[in-house]
Amino acid sequence: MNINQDSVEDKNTGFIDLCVKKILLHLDETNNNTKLEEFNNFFIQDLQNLKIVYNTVPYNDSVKFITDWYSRGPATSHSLESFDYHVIPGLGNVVVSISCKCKFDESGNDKMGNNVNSNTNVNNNKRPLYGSAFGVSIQLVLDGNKLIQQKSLNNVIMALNYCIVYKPTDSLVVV
Amino acid sequence: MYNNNNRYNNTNKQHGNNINNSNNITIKITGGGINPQMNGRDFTNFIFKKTRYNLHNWQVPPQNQQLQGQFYQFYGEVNSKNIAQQLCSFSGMLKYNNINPPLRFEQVQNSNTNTNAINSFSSNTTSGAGKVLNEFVMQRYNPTAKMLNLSNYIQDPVLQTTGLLNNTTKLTLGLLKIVDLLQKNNGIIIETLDLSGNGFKDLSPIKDLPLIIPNLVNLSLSNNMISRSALFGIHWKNKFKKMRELILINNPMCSSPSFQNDLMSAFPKLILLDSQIIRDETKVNTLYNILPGTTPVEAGKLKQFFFESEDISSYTTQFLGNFFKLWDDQMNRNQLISLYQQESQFSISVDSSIPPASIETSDQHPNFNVYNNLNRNLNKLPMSSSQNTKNNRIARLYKGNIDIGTAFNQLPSVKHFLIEDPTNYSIQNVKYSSINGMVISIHGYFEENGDPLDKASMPKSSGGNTKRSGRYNSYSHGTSIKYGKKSFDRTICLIPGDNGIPIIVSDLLNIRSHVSAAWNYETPKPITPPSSASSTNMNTAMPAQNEILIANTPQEKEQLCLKVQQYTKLNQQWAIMLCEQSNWNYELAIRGFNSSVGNIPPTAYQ
Repeated sequence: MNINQDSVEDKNTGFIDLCVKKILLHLDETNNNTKLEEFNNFFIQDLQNLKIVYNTVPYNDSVKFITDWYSRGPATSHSLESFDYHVIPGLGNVVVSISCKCKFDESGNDKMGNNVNSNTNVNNNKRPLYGSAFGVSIQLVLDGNKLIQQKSLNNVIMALNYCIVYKPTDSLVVV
Repeated sequence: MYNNNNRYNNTNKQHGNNINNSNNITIKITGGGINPQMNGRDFTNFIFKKTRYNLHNWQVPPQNQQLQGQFYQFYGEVNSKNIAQQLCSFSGMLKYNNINPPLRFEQVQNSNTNTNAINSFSSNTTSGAGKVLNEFVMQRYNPTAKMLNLSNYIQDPVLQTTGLLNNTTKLTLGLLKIVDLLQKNNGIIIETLDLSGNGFKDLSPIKDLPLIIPNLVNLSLSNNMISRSALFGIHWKNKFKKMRELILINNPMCSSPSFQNDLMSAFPKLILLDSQIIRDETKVNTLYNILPGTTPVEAGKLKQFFFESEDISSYTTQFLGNFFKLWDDQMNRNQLISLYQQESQFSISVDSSIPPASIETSDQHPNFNVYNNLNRNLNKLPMSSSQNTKNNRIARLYKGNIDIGTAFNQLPSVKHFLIEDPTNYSIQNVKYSSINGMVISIHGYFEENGDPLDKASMPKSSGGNTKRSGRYNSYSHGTSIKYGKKSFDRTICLIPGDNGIPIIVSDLLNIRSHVSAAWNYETPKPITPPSSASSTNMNTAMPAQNEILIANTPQEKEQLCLKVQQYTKLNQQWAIMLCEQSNWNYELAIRGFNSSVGNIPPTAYQ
């Protein structure tokens, strides 16, 4: 393997690493409109070519996906365990494979801050109580050219596949 | 002596504390740090770490243990006399939590008399106390209401003959054991359990109830003497996933100011407490159901497959079947190289994290050493690290079919089970329009069963290093290679090539600890994705609902054969052969056909 030949590409790889981590962080965002808008901007706005599959449910509209994501279920905490990516030659697209763990808040709060125990003083604080970890596998296709050119994540996610691969038996969340 | 109240201790096979073997030898351990509040799991892990011997059926000393001398006694069992002797040789050498005095190990004679007190009657339900208890439980069970009424059993004269009425703990354990057996062997379902009026002062006699009836919906513990509501949080927090209603009236704890809060904390999905609504049921069910497009009652419906359109579904399953068939044949794995071209890329990343032990099938001690020199987990190879790390990022990305072939030979011999065990594989597949191709993600498991063909790059085992020896200098755990099952996620980018043979542009393999799958397998039927993205059906190989999937009678077999012929276009003789090989299972037959379609001669078709 010729290391010198890859040195130009090498400069940008650190940035791709950061982007992967940033996308995971955005999945854990809760009720913050600015952040949600920012996350929506990550996706390409060409609805014909945008592919989102969340736990085998398809979306071709990032707004619908993000609205569903934030309005459903308790807050999450994703921890990155491994990732790897390939830059497709010619196109400059980046295919990323991510393996991570996801814990759900079991304090009774949803992402909007509403609590199912709202009539009592049980767990009414906002501090999350994370349960056992689920295993999550994520695949992304990113527009690498745009990513490197603009040095930001705007309009770069062309495809996202989010799939829970294992589930603990002692979690309140059911899939 | 001690009672065996952790009889149902856990369901984790790796660390099973329920090993029943008549040859088991009981070991008594005394010393600093052993007390009724200790964590038995931590303690046995400590013993294993120091001695490499596992203790089974262990027992933390109960509060009321009669002390002999100064210390509490911890009991555990080992499998053989030899191990017992070895373990006893550590006596006086280990300190738990650095507390004096050191632990003393002693063999206990005639151990079986106590440990199997419950089993002695409960495993035999045809005579003696076991029979009485069995009949009693069946008499109190209402199959229509799925209700077991065990109220006031400590005063029931029927149980007099068991001689256990003066020992409530033993009697309760015996009844629970019977319930456990009846559920497993007779298939009885219990959703409502009445344990009122039995004089329980705390939850210790029934603390293992969540392991026996985890799907309990309604429970009554009224008219007992339970004084602390916090006990529910200590013993049962988050244990009953479906618990909806609790009746606890007439217990001393009911007057406690924290009563309701304690119960709500212990049972996050509890709706009714003493007939009062304490939570909005719809809100609770919605909160914990994260699958879009499903109602709360459909929770737990994670599907196994997603294909963007019908045309790529059959193509994908066929491609993957053939791919893994060749991959598993180590001598012929290099035939796959023809699918990769000069610009193709392949790499492996290892997710070495451990899944939660609560998952029934989960490898808590995975060994990934054989992949050490191939692992391109970029999370562990950060750009900010040393030059060596940066070089590994590049060197472990295999480009071009020659390099990829080299990498293939450095991977162990494996077996995937797509045909034998299709329920454990999940596939998502979308079209990749920029390159007129597709991205396939497959999740599942494989079993490693032998060394790589090219052993040169295998990590060197330190076993042969004569300079390091002895207990404290041996680092053999670091590089020793053990094979077993592994779960994986593989992402393959395909583009069409010449003569219909696809080209793999990118192949990302992520290997992780073996763990049972999250998705739910259902009998094959057409799965229609929700309205967005694509509205085409999934797999033409999947027959419609209510059609015969597994044939038993000759008529069914005839129909199944016709259906297989319809899909495969095979002639009758080959279709029958295929069906027979697949045990007359349509799903297996179609998968078998897809995976071996390349090897079927033209004469086999109609």
